[in-house]
Amino acid sequence: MPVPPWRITSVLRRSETGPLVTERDFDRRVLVPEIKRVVKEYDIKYDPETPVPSDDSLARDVWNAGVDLFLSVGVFCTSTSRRMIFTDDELKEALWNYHDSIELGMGQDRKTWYPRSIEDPRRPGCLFSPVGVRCSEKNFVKLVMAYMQEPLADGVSTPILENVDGGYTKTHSPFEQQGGSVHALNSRQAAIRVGRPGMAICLTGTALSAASQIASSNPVWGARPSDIRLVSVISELKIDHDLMNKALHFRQNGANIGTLTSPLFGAYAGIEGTTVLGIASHLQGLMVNQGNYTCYFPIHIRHLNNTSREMLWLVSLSYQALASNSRLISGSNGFAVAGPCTEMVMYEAGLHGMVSAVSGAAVLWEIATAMNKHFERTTPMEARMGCETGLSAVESKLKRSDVNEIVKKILPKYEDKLGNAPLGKTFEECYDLETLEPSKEYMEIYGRVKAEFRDHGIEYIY
Amino acid sequence: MDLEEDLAEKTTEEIIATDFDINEIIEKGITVAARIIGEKFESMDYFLGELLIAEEIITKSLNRFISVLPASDRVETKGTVIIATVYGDIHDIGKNLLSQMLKIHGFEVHDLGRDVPSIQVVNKAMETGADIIALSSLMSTTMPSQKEVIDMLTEFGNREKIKVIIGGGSTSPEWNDTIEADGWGETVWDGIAMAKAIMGVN
Repeated sequence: MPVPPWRITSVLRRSETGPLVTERDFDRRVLVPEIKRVVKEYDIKYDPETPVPSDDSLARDVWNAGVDLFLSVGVFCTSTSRRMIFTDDELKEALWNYHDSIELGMGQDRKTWYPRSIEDPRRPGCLFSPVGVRCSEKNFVKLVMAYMQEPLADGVSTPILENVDGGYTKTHSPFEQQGGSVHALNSRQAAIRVGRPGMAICLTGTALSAASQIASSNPVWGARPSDIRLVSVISELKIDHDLMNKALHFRQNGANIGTLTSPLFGAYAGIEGTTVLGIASHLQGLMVNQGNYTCYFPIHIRHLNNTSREMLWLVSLSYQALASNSRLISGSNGFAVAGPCTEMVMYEAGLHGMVSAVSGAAVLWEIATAMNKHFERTTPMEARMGCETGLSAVESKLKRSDVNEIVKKILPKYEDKLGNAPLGKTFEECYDLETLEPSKEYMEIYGRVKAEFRDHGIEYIY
Repeated sequence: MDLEEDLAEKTTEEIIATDFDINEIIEKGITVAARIIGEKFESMDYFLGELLIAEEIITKSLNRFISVLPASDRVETKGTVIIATVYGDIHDIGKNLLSQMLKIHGFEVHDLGRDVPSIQVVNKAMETGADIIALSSLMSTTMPSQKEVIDMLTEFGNREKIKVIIGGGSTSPEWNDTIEADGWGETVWDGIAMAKAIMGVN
């Protein structure tokens, strides 16, 4: 059942009429002091010895701090330099009217996502995602087919088309719009070829601007309302009119909106403040971005990942706070430092999936690799490892304390390599492009790392 | 070290009341402060908020010292940098961090903000006689604008005069080579080191 948008015209007006403030003053005199205040007032402290905490009162404090931060700071509109402010009652109204589930995809491929609780025995949803990796037109369909044929995938994200028809798909150029159309068309073709024509697809990454996003909406060849359409939060607690235009278009055409939320550890705050920002950003997603669900990818500003000790603490605590205090549906989007066909990326994916699933994430949204920046350096194997390990942790009925112990045993295998991780191999080096089968080498690495997780108490179903 | 604006202002006035040496102020005061600020940023004790305050304190203090100097003693900047997040890209945290740190380290910085059209970057660089253009791009589809700036500089005949350094989440050393930029940085430190190396300063 879809969530209604929250008073959409009132939100539009607030971006034009809210208190005027320069961005520098918003950052320096509003946002940063308020982050510091709530971290201190709610006494939130990171403990490196407990990367997966089991303290329910800490999760409650993180939620309350996030609500306090959102209400005291609001959201800054960079297009008008105005703060959009919300009241406690308005937030409660939006949270109370939030739905119990959402449906994505069509026909036989329709899937339902629902909110989960901490240590919930029900399985989370699975979204297989090469996120924003650049890809050639030559390999685009094969790469997307490889992701779509994964049985666990409820839906897939798709890579970015780097070139189309002889031009870079540069944002705001006509090649962006052309690239967006080809991206959507090719993604739909891939879904048909693997026999999942109604599968929910994240569209359209190549089209960054609102104009090109809107142009790629088409019920026959392009993005459908049943697909995954995304509107990002500008880090931290910001929005602009181009993003609001996207949200308006998606809502008016009956699409589910996913809010892309990426608090940056090391930018405005330390790990505790960034965790609180994560909650506040989810609330921005609900009230401003008009999101039905969230794709949550907190990032370490230097390593561009969320698989290190403090980032796993942040991920776990965020989901515990969300799961025990709201019905917000949020997908935990992994970001790994290492690249495909390495043991390190298998460890990173496994831990991220496991921590997210047991902490209460509604969806495992796995996983960007090689810092999400190297051409075609992504494969479905990393998502498979993240989702299988997360689902198996749930099936194994692991508690947070069990997961904490496993994390403490696995983390030392890669913690010292975060600044110099192996980039691994490209999709073409890892997969047979005709059969779309992974290489023997990669299957052996995957098998070896799974065996290690098994030794630590994960009972894989297969 | 604390970031106390009132104390910094008071101390500045106290020093001005003495027979001060501007070179000593820069060497023993501001350079040391910049190093400590950098160390605190590196150890994640300082974040963007602290950098904004530090940059304001240093700029205000330095400008006050300069205002009472004879013109012949005026302090030279380490170089002029045009910095921007490229066209179509609204993500500017990394760019803001580098912008603040470059100012703290004595560069004249023209921060054009986010989502800046390539021609605007090039025009500003030519108008100010900039030494360096620093371009950030987080998104895969906005990276080509880094190349566009380089292509424009080449066509205007200014490529040899103005160095272009790049960074941002989507960029890599391979991309740097592809577009023939003058340097790629992963961190704020890389950006500062590249700028100093280009200008031949410490």
